[in-house]
Amino acid sequence: MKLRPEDFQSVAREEVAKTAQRDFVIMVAGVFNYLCDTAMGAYGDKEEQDKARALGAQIRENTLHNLPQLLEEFEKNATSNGIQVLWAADAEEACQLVKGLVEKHQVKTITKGKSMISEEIGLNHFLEQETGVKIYEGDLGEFIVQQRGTLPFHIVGPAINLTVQEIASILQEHIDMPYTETAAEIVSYVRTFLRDKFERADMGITGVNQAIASTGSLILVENEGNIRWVTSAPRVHVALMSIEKVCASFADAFHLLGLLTRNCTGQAITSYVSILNGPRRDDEEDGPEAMYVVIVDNGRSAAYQDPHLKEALRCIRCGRCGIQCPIYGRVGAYPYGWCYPGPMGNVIAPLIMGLDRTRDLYEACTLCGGCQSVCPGGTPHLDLISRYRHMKVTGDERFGGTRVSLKERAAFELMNRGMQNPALYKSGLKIARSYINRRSQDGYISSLPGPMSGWFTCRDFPQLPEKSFRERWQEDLQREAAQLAGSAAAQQEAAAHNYHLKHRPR
Amino acid sequence: MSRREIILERLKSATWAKPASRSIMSPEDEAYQGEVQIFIEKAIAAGAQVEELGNIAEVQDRIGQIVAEAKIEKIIVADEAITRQIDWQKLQEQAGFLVEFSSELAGDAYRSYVLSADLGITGCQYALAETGSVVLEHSRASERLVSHAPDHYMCIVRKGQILKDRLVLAGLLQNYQSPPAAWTLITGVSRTADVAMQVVLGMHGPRRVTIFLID
Ligand code: SF4
Repeated sequence: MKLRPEDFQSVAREEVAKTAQRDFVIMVAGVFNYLCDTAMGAYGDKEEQDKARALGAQIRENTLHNLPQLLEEFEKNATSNGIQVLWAADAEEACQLVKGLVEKHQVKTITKGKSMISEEIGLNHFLEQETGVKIYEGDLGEFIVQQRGTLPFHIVGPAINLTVQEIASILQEHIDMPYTETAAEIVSYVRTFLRDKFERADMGITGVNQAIASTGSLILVENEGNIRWVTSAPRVHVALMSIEKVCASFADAFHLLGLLTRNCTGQAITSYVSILNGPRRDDEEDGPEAMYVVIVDNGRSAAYQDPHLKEALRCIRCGRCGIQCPIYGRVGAYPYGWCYPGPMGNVIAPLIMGLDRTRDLYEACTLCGGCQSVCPGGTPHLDLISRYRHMKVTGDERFGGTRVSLKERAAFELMNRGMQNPALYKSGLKIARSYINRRSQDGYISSLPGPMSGWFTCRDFPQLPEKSFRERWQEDLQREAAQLAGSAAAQQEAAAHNYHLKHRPR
Repeated sequence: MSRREIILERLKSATWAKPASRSIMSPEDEAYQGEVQIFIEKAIAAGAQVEELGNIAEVQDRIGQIVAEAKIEKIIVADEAITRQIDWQKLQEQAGFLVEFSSELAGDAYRSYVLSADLGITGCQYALAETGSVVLEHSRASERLVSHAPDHYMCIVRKGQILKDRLVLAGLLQNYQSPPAAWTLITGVSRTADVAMQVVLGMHGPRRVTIFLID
């Protein structure tokens, strides 16, 4: 799948027009929010829930402070468990490593558990092109979007935007499923179709939810049972893991998993939690003979060096922030142009794909903070998004951000100065008002020449009123003061009058 | 420098990081006791059928009844102390099905049997009241697919195996002397909501899960 974050605006325009999809996604978000809130209730009242989230954030912070040490410890323990640990600097290298394993083990068929990192590195496309191996996604939603050839719509529900009719047509076309609009029949057909692949596959590929440094274990969660197949039946298991997915202990991992599933699907736990400590033992029949963990950096270690940007690595991929986001709710996943849509992607995309390519992503944010308020990893979305905007304006070579044009910078600089100086702000506003209002039509401004022109490509702005709020406020204050003064004078006059009446010479 | 070294070097050069205390959560090692009623409630809510029975003889009778009702033909059983207490010979004669211990089959014979079995039966290592989960420890005696490939899965749980919650389990797993290749936590029935948000049970795992709870 080609990553196209630079097409955000044009794709968003198309997606926003799909009103039925939009209404459905907003409805789904409401349902998920309700389920997740209810599930979080297991921790107790609001205060206890905040405490549970704060503990999650602390665990993530601890991981970040100890990241290189935890990775080394994980590698040591995993290796002594018989797992082979490989390291990849970027997407290309990770794909090449897996290709090497496909060739080494003479793999013909691969079954996969849902793995976002494999989407991130474009693994399916690469392997199919380079090796001709057959790959089957095991998660139903992921399987549907694989057949359809689109990006997942949501990290938990990849096909959640599709109607039953659309799903039925896709499966009818690609795997000869007899057309049916009954969900249970669709599930049953795909179950049988994939069952055969699960049984025959030579290699299973999964992601990792948490890796435990002190024991070298991998934890994977799921509801469908595809990961159990993928890690039990094939000869080889390859687990892909981004560098930040490690934690110190089972206790830490289990607390995070509780937060993950409650904020993901509103469940206390998923149907299956697989804890893998290595390849199958010599006498065992099930489980892989060979097991690999590919640790993928892909731009993260560069972000890690910056004390502010490293915060983007807190995410545990629950997807809750997307459900919370008003922008994601309206435009859906496709405009984001890659596998992590919504706020979670906005904080990591610029670090991986560069500030220039992803500008629309971090600009398409109202800074409402809904994402941040629910995040169980403690991700400071608002700080990061504001930071990316600033980095883009001033330019940041580390993360592919060329400075914006001199004109745009000057405009921002002017605004910056004006905002800090009340007198300048006032006079600036007066000038801007007459300049802007001259372009008003029916009370709205739809375009402006110069550095602000981009802003108007996708929104209108109401004509500025004759007087600003501050001006009206000032006038009101003055009027009130005058009234007060007036009534005080009247009172004084009345008092004096009374005095005279009382003391007039008889 | 290898890839590994370059990445680790880069991480180590971050000046803000203060490597310090490690685990944030502490496992609860005293609260071993689990609440049976909560376990039952949670397991049922997750889609399992739970039957509270007095002893293993009653489990044997119930298996006989269910197998006859569902016309089950092939059963695969994990080779554990608790499953060995069932008189399979007698059951087999009564209900006329085929039964094999997973440990007594190997290679293709094992694979083709487990993939075609209608029912898989295991004991468990622990269970969790908090979530209604059973915790399986896999080995030659308790292969992974026994609880996953057949359409119907049965698990025999002793009440004493129920732990309060996952933090108790964390303490136990953390300190294992020689951990198995895999543990699995199973909670109810495999499910999906990927078709227009409609929850359908039995995606890739068993469509039916029965837990026998005994003293
Ligand atoms: S950023 Fe936070 S809320 Fe969003 S997916 Fe990651 S952990 Fe969940």
